[in-house]
Amino acid sequence: MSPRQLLLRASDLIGRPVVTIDEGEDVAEVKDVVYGTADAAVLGFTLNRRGFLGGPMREVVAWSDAAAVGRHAVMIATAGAITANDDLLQDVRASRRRNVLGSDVITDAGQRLGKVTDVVVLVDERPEVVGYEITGGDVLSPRGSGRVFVPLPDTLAVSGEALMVPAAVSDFVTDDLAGFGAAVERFRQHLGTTS
Amino acid sequence: MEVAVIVAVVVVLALVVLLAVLVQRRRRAGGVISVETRSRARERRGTGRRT
Repeated sequence: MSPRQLLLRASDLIGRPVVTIDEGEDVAEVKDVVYGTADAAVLGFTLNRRGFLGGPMREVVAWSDAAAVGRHAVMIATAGAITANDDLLQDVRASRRRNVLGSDVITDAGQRLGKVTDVVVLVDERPEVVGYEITGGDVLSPRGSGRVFVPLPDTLAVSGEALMVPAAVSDFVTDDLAGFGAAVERFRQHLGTTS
Repeated sequence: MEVAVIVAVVVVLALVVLLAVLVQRRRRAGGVISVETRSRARERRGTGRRT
């Protein structure tokens, strides 16, 4: 992992402010993190209005319009980066707002690993979903915390309500987010050598 | 009688506020959404027709 890369839980982004660089103004909050099932790429964010009484917005921020994403805010150049008729919005509507949090993770060998409690995002030039945080399944945490991080291949399989991963993933499970980037790289190298 | 009416009104108002808070929390609740992009869906349908 290069120094410019950043591993984040998706839940770290949810509720974070969307801030314009030109005026330094909080214009919205992140509601949902949206990613594509084909290549696990983060596509953008749906939004809430700011403040407790602010409901969901019709507009979204596509990843291509985000200037930077950090632990504490999503930065956009101007308020114009929030768009109403983006392709992303139509993809979200077509997906019927399929939330992966709470979905079961099963291997292609038929073993249930647990339920997704969070999604790990690698923030880079091309941000992608690189892992699931899961709990409550057959995979035991190395240190018994009950919560583990499961690396993902660079193409994802989704079937009905379940998220599928290769069976080999159980050898690369970790309970440490700091070392998770290395686990993802090892897992993908392993898939590359065995495919 | 009057006290009973006042208590009833207060209880109803409290329930309305509670319901509004719950609805608002639900509306604002976020998540992680996986989507199949339309270009990908078209690609998959096209592949399906050929096979």
